[in-house]
Amino acid sequence: MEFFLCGIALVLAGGVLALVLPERWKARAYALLATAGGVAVAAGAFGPALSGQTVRTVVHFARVFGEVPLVLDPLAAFFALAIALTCVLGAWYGLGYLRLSPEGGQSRGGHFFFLGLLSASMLLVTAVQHALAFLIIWEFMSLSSFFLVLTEQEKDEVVEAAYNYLISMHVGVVLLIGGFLFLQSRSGSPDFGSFAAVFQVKDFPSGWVFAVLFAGFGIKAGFVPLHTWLPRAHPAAPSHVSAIMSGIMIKTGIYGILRCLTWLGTPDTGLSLAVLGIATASALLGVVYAIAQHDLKRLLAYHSVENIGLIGMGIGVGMLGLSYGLPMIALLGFAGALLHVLNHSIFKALLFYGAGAVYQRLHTRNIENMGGLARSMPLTSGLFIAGSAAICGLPPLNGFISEFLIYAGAFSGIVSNRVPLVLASAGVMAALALVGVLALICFTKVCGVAFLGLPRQPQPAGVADPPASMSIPMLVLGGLALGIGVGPQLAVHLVFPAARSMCGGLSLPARLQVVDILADISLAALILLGLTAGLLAWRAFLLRHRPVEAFRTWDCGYQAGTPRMQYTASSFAAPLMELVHPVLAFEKNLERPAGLFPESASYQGHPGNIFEAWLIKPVTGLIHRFMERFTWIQSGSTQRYILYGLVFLVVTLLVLAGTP
Amino acid sequence: MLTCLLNLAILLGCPLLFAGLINRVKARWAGRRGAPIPQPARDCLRLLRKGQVISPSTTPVFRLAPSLSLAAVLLAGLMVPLAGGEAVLSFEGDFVLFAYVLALGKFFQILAAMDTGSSFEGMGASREALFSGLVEPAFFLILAGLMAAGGQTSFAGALPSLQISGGLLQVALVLGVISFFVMLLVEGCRVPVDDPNTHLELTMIHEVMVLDHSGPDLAFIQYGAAMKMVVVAALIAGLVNPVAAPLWLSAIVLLAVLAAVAAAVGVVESITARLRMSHVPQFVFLMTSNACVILAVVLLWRFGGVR
Repeated sequence: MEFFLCGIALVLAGGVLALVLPERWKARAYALLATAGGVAVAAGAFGPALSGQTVRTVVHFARVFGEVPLVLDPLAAFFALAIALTCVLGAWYGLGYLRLSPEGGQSRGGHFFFLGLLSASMLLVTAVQHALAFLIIWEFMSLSSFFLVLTEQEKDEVVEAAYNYLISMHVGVVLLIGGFLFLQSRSGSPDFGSFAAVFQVKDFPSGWVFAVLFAGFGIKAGFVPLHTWLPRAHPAAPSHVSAIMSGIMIKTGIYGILRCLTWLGTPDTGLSLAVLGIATASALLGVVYAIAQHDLKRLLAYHSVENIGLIGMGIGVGMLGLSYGLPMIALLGFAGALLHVLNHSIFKALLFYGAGAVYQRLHTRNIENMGGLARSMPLTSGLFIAGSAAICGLPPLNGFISEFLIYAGAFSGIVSNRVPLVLASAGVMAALALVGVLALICFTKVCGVAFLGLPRQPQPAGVADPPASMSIPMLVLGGLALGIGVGPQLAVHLVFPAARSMCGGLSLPARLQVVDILADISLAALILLGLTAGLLAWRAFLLRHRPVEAFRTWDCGYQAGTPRMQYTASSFAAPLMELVHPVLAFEKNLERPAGLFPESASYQGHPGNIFEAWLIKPVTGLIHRFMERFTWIQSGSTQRYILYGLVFLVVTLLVLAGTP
Repeated sequence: MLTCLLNLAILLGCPLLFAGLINRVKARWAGRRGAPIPQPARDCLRLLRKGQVISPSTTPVFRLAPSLSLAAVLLAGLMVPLAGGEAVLSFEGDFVLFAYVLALGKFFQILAAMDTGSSFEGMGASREALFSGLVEPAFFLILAGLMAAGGQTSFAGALPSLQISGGLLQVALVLGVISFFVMLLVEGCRVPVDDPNTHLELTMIHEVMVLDHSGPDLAFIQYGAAMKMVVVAALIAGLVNPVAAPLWLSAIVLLAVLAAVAAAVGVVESITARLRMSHVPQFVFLMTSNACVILAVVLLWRFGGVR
């Protein structure tokens, strides 16, 4: 615990140092201290995460808080490890990224201060088990990330996205305050430890309280339909901030949901199915919206919705296992969800870092204007393609392992003898497969259009791989993705203690059979790599004395090809878009050619978001119209404001005089 | 060990004969004598001895893809139960790895096609990604039905679980055979999904994606494509192959089913035309609806007491 708290203090100190040090030392000081802090946090958290033991201290705070328990149980320790990893790598990447970007409106010092504050509050939020303190740190997290989104504050779209984010987060925090206050009023103590007992009281509306907390945490996590802030905020923020926010900050919402689940005890089957349904909808709609996007970072943001959905599907499977009293299913579901939290933070950060490296060189996020980057940025492209394969869940990379664990939970459900469980499990398997293939369509589109082929537009001079401070974090993440994919039987021990702690009182065998299955998968991954290497070597051997000529791509006899003739991302996605257009709210702007010699014709299409169009906009519109009735209050004349003040004082005096 | 070696031999040896057999059946149906059955094998050997032409618009991904895709299909083949009802590599949930490793091969083939910069190849890649993608959910639903029927969660355990004679499960068995046959037509890019003999790039799917590959790479791709068909055909064999049969009988049944499936592909190819591109998803949904019926039938059988 001492290591853990020291680590958080170091990260914070790094942020404060960045405020006061001279310009050229800010980034380095922050990166160094954040690394030291991350190592210290890892040193403190590895123990509880691997052994399953709980470390606990109580801090006596001022009157307001009273005793604040700080608890590092396996669940908290696991999330702390994942947060530390992402924040440390993000600090180094940010060092290189900000050095290369044009001077923004925000000072470097402020940027790194908020980065430190965000990292420290995320780490602390996992350990604090006191309702009020938790909410305050949660708010620090939201506010510091709000300022980070505002890094390029001179752009209008950035400001709009940041406010959208701020408002979404506050809708969420209001729900959390309500839920926590209700729990605290029932238990009489703000200590999380006392909440579990409240849920077990007869006639306690546990399903509704869980639903309110789920909604509050779900806005942070980005479950459908509360995800609309994500695709705005992530493209607006600088890439390392997007990576931290999308890679790990939204997972604090998952942490909150899991923490609530530990209080809930045995969940109701209906509640489990509802969570599973929301998660499945998030996964499917997230990836469908992603395919419609051509803005690289917005596309990645929608994939966060998809992956949060996958994590939620794991949680749903786990809850179903709990509600039917089948511990293996519960364990596999929760283990899959937790491992996917780590895996997503690895490959999503890698993809955002790749996108950032491209954005810095080309100054565009539209993939239709890229192309051929594999030639000028080979390292970035290779790592981006590897990250794409990982996010599609393809072996031998890490995404496959966590999806496999969720599949394993599902097929354990299929061989059970409860009909609803069998049906839900079959649905989970089909949905996971569908999400997988849609992700594959999406990422073959991105990689094929942005990185392969020929440049679609003349590229500016100096397009090259990023400097070491940016490429080394990407290499580390790529290595981790491959490492977890090839050695899953070792990596899962990081999540099993936390997953076991989610299974409550159900008894589980000490030695889990799934570890043996994962060893087989590891063998298969090695066979795959060996076979590929063997075939490549054989190919090189066959070609050693043979001519290998270069000749242009087959063009059907047509001689004047230009790079603009390459298949575009829109065309690539079109067949699928035809199938799913009802959920897309596609806006078309078509000017048909007219007459015998048409002079102009144009077509523009914008993929929309049905939740934004049909849910968020009507509601906010309603609030807006209601509030507009009171605009007369804000007249702008000083005299009236003084009058308001006077009226307020008089009314207050009268009220006070009236009360004894 | 003997089973393992026999299965490896079947897996490595059958693919090129399988493709030759399909062509032979088509030729006979059209009244021609047709090329000898080992002709595709000879073509492959010849390609292995050739040099290559590589487009300057491509990147190393283009050169990596054929080897990686073939390795992926080989690994998938190792997980499918062949003679004796045993797979070389078998574990609970192996079918998940099977589907994902095939998807890995597809991922890189699509990237290689996009890498050439040709519009035709991009078009083919887009279609391949969608059509073969639509197969996957149905594949998992069928496996769900098989697992629910037998309570086994590996390929080798689940595939024969519909072989309970005289009952409702026979319906599921027939639907399963049809579904895997549809899967073969889609994964193997055969009529009515795709026509391997077409000469117009605009209407191709698989063939157009490999237009720019040559030499050993093309040999890898053709061998891999044929092996993918054999692997899916072996799933059909796994559905009907009796579990308790001795190794020799099981091997004979397997080879007979493979030959029958090849002949069926040839016949289908001779008597039907390919579908319009926009109708292909509906054809693939045939497999999805079959899969739902299989699952329903199995649940009725197991929980509803309907026999």
